[in-house]
Amino acid sequence: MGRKEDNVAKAMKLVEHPELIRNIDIAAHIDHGKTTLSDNLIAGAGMMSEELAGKQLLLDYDEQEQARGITINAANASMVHEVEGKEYLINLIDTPGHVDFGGDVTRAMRAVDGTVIVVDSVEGVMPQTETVVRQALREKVKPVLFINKVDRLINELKLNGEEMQKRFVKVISDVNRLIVKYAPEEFRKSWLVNVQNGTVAFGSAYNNWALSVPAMNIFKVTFRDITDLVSSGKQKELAKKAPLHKVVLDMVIKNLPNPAVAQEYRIPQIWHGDLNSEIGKAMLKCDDNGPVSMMITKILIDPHAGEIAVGRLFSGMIRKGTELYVTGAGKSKVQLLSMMVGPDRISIDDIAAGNIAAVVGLKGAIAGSTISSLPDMEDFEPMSHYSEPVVTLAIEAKHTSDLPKLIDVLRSVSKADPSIQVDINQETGEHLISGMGELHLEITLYRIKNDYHVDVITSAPLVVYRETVDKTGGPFEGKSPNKHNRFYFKVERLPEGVVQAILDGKVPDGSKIKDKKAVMATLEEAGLSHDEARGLVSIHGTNIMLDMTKGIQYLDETMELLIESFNESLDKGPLANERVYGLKVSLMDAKLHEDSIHRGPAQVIPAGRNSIYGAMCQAGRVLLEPMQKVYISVPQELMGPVTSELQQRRGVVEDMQQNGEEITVIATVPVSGMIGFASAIRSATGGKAIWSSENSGYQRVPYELQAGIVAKIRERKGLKPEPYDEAYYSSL
Amino acid sequence: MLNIIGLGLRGVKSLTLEEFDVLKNSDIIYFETYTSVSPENTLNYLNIITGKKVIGADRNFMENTNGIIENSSKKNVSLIVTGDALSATTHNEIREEALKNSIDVKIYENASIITAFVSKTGLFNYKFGQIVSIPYIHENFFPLSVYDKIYNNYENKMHTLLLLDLKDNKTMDPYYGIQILSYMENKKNKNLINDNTKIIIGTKIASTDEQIIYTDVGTAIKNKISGSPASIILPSELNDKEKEFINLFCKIML
Repeated sequence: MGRKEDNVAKAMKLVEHPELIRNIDIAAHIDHGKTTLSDNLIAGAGMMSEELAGKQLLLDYDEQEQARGITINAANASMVHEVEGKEYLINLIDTPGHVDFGGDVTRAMRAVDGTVIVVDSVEGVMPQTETVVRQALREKVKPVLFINKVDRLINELKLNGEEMQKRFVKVISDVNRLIVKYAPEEFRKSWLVNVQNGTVAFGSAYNNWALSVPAMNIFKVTFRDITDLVSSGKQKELAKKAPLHKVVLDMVIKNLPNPAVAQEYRIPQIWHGDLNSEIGKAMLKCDDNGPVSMMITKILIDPHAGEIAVGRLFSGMIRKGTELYVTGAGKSKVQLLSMMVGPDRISIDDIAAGNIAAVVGLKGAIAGSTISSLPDMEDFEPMSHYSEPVVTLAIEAKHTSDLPKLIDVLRSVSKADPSIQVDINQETGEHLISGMGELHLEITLYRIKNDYHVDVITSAPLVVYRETVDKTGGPFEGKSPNKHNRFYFKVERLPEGVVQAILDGKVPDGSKIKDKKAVMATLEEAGLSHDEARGLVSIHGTNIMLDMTKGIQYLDETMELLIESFNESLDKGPLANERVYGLKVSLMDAKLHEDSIHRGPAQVIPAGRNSIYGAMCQAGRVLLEPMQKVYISVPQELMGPVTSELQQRRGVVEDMQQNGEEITVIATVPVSGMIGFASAIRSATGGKAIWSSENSGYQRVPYELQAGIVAKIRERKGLKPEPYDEAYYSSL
Repeated sequence: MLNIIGLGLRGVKSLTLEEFDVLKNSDIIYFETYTSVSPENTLNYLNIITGKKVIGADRNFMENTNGIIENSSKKNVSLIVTGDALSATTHNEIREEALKNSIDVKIYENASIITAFVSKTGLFNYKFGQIVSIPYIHENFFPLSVYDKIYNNYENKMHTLLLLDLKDNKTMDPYYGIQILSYMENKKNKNLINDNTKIIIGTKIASTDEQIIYTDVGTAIKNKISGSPASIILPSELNDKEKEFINLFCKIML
């Protein structure tokens, strides 16, 4: 039996002992070394050869991932590690670092209880580090810290032991600042990382060594020894003395909670059902004997097995053949059950509460589905990752015979990756596919062509704009076509705090609000007045509709239509038919016809739209464009080409940081300017630039460019180039 | 000059002599086809008897009245409306608009379903309450005020005349309208509409195929009573005379 099979056998013995299980992920800014760390942990635990580790990028098992050197999918692996004579099962998820795939990180956090935050010691805490720490803490996932690429501090920046320690202190205090900022109240102190208690380790994932203060004492290694060994090219020796997997996995096992401990405080956060019910109690205790409750965090599409639902089992036991209920999709039978070991799925017969399982046969399951043996289990709280696509392109089947297949493929692609948004237009056969960035779409198209074998023709990528307003507009009278009904809406920008609350998922979408009182309180706290919060009708995207009227007869039976009108109007704004962002839409008055026949959908929907559009005209319409923060590290002498490349793309350089011979340029660039950036920067710097980017919200299009861009978007959509004005909406 | 002309219920046959004169002297004639249903081919017959090209005015036309108002300010314009001239709010709005533009408006009254159907059933005219329309319902449009109004009439011992929504120049089938009422009953649970609730259905009133049926909700739905144009009456308490008349004037289907 090879070590790998041996490990599988050992793992099987541990799955039913929650106290011996750790579910963790590794999260970091892009290129800080997550996947290298994951691979070496797996190799160290005997799941792959040590020679290949760090070179093969085992968890990057997608061909595209290996070719591009980045992780695209959140991949899973289970491994066994021994500490103080006891064996533990570690279920590890490696998450993507590239900003285009941020949704995967959020979803992975639901499945795990602890996370190893990886920070590059040279670059320090980066914006995406903050994002992942925030995501982890919001899900009550406990962090430990691994400071990576320490060899570069020694070999490239020539730091001595003392200077190196200063660096560590800086990284640790930066991470702790984030923990204080985002940790749940009860853990704000106890979850701070610190060198003394072993919640911080440092080392080189690539060269396979790691240390922590407790480990330094055990292995009798000093900072002086580290600098000496590294600078004299003896990292292999260091890796023998202080193996990466041992130090990091020890840290994980000693400091991160087991599922039974974690579920006690995580369940009330992620599930709002009755905690005293049978299933509630079972989940709190991570009980094998209770009813099954599982949350799906990822759907993998396998050419042979079909859709594989991966998720966290919080209570009960799943066996092959078990019948389970999928939220909103009825009952299905478990056909296959497996655990993931890197690229291999090992088929198993049953799996117990507290583990991460991969299940085949759950019809209709999507990321976020609640799975239970009970037909009426209260759903888990949704995993709120607010990711609005910023780039879109039109896609058509090359051969008309592939048309029906393409629709199926698009649906299945968006199911596997919820950050991909698909608009299917059966009439024209031209569909839209939208994603988080150019790369995200490129990868998706590659999959459509290579994994699903559909030849497609696509348009050039287009930027997804947003519309909003400048000032206050209205109340504006909008009339129904028969003139018998009139609505008076007022519009203005929502306070930033409210938009943030929506983006953070603190406020649910839609008009069917379960706990309205709590939502009103949240809105008031975020910046709405008491009366406004009480008038809450519906939330759509980043926009809110309020009813500020009192006692208008028949308004109650008209409200659903007005919500429809509000949704439609804000999906297609009056400026360029793009989505509206951050708008407060308040109904101030309404005049309704006595007889219901005169105020049906065909009357009310246009009347509401005329009023909202008219008010937006009065408030001054503004086009917003998505922005990206771009980080580019280059050798100093290449600064010139980099800044000129950025300037050509309307980029604004915000900061420059020097690290030895290298300089990191931080700039804000409109997404429209980022199209084609990858190849442009490669040729401008002879391939010497390392860069990453993250979406950083929307900014107003410069005033002098707005009319031109609006006209272009409108023409593309087959509209007349000039948007309609206020007078037009009042004449309707 | 704008003449709003009620056509009555029998197409060109119920046009009055005076109305006929007005039409002959009109420069432009519109025939409104949006708020009600008129006998087949009425537009053709109007063309023939007036010797002019009569313009059909559909919903879109009626909702954009600028053209009709502008023409009326320069020319002698007639707008022909099925039934009485001013029973629908829309027509009074055109009248208002014209007056605001200092245009002379003349109204020519005629028979309306609102009185014709009601009287023909034998029910007493003065025992009616608020008229209620039954609209096509929609996922986001289920106006229970319809039920409330009928209930209110009923409670106050008043009959209710129910007008049916129009689509594609046809009124809603009566049995379908009744079904909508029973959906509303399911929400309200006040036991006003049940299988035994008596109703009177009138179809094609004033035509040779006119039918006035006294029946109940269960029977109407089971037999899918159809036909356009149609209206329904939901009677409240009947007095002896009304009972006598119904037995004599209506087709009984129970």
